Amino acid sequence: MKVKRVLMLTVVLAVVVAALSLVMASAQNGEPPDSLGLESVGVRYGQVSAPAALTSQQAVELAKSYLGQSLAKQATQVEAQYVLFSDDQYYTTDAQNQKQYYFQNVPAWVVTLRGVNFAIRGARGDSSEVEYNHEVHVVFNAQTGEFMELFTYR
Amino acid sequence: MFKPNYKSMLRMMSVATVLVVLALLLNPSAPQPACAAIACQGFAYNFTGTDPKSMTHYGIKADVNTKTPALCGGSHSDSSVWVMMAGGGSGQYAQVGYGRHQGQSSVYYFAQYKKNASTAAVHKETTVASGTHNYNVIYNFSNGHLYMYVDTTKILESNFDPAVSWTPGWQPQWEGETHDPGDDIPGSSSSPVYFSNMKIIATRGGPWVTPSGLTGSSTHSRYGFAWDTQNTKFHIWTK
Repeated sequence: MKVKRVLMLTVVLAVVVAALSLVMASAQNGEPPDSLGLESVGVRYGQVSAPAALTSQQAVELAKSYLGQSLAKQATQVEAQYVLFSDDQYYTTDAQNQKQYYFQNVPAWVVTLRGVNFAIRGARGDSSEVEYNHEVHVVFNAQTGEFMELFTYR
Repeated sequence: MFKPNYKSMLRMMSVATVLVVLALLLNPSAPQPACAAIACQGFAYNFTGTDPKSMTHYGIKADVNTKTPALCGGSHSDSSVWVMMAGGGSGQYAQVGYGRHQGQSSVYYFAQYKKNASTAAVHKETTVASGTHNYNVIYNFSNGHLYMYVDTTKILESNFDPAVSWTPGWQPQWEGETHDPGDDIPGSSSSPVYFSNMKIIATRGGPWVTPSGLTGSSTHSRYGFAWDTQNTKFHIWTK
């Protein structure tokens, strides 16, 4: 009887521990992009106050359509973040040598797909094996739904 | 009363069909169908363009026209053309060009860099590509970063100094690349993709100069490579 109770308790404990580690793992995956990663592509997020014309679900559908079903269906986690989007590396320089930025403080949906195998291009003659990034961010104008850019850094 | 002569009508129609087919075949300005990709063979990197060759350089550029390649439809399918500054070690490069990966119906401008084999690649893609543009990667001596441009539009900037991080033996590369031998390289034999005005910056603060001693080839028999003028202009296509 006592042995049965100890066994039951052990099983319950094991289930609780497994569940807790699962929750922790998914929380880790669900972390917003780190600032160092965003910096590597020149991207900043600000707080947006005006409501978006595009819903988060519409943004997610647009992102999946942009990536294509074969890639999008690999995603183990998808989230949409409504932000004031800036890309400080994406600009053209005019005749007066002034930088004309494409995206500064644009209300945008950043759709993040995790768990995908986004194949990386590389150098010829490099012996490295097939390489993937597993987190892709697809950005859409929150008012018009227009594709703005895609970036990935991990 | 009018009596239709079916035999002569049939003969005339046959002659007209032959003439139309001949006209289509002989008219060089008629739109050429895109090459059809073959069945996917599995993920493998293939290239057609210049062979790897070490040379001191602080910038690379070329003018490249845009063609949209067919893909074989694998989740890894990808086809691109680009110019690159590559370090002497594995996973060291900065590139800019245009390409299409599975899911996209058009080609998009992209830039990508990687510090070394243990860091993740940083990749960005922007708008749909069209026309002929100058693609260039330049080492910025002020901050030691690599800048990746389409004409005068900067797409991406490295977050490290390759003079500090990369192995010596840097290589300038001008390439078309696929991720599956079933994917097409942009361009067909009758309408190829041209890399022209190929230049490098060979000295610190120096001007753009024509590289020397370049050779070229394809790593797969489906893809073609041919010099128009050695070291200056070549074209690539899917056979």
